Amino acid sequence: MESKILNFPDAMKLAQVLSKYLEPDKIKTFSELEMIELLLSKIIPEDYAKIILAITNLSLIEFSKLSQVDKIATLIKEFRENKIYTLIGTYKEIGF
Amino acid sequence: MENEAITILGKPITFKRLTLRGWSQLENLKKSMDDAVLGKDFDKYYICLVQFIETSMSPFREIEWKVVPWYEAITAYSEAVKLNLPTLEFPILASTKAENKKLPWEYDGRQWYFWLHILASNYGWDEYKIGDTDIDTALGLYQEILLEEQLDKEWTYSLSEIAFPYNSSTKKSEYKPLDRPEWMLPISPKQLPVIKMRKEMMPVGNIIDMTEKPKKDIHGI
Repeated sequence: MESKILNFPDAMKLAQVLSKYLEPDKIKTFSELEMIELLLSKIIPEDYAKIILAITNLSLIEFSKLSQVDKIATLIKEFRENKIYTLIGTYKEIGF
Repeated sequence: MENEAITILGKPITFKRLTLRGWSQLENLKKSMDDAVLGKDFDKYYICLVQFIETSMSPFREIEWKVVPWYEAITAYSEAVKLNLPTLEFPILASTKAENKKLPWEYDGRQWYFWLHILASNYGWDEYKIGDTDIDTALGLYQEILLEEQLDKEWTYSLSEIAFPYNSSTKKSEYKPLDRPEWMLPISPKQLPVIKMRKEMMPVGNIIDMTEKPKKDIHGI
């Protein structure tokens, strides 16, 4: 599946959602899996849907049909492609 | 100044250091970006960011900004900003007081007219000469203009009565200097000098070392 690379406005909208759950200082020592586990443990369904639609090329129904392992693997891959660690830090540094 | 080369969508992009006219446009865009940050307007911020990059680009390249990855856009913006910063540490830029209040006479695009007025009225330069001035030269001259204005004000002030207010306790008129802007005040030392004091001048008394646990004396206290 081809990765969805975000342009700037879409990346900032995603960062706006992610920054509610992930703090740049706290996650910088986390692995990608730990970061996603932390996110999934706290996220509300509405924000979960926003993240899936923003970062994957799949619909919510298509994503929900994936196995748990595939869901995590997809999120890890898309987070890595879109440099999410750096994105949240950049969002905060800009001052949004 | 050297052109900094980065890539956007696989194509190399180079920037140039702008002269005063172009730099004024960049400063206007920065203000618009600050307003967009306050209003959390991502689209407006991006539009200004793109304009910033395109203004600094040399040569100009057509780019499909909707598909540019966010990290490439930010990297390009950072390079453009870095290239168009003053290279000298002007004290006038080191003010700690952030003035965010918008003045009634401010408007988008005022920056250029501000510089045009300041340099034309002080040196008699024409629009083209001012437009081609380097950023460092403009800021350096601006500081010198303000310095001379302040010193002239202090001289005129010192010739007036209000510079010597009457002190009722000393029954004398004492000189009260005119306030200086923050960038003209003396720089406080980062490390204060160590002053040795005579032993007789030190305060007397028992010194209790609180780093160790107090030992019980024979009376159990």
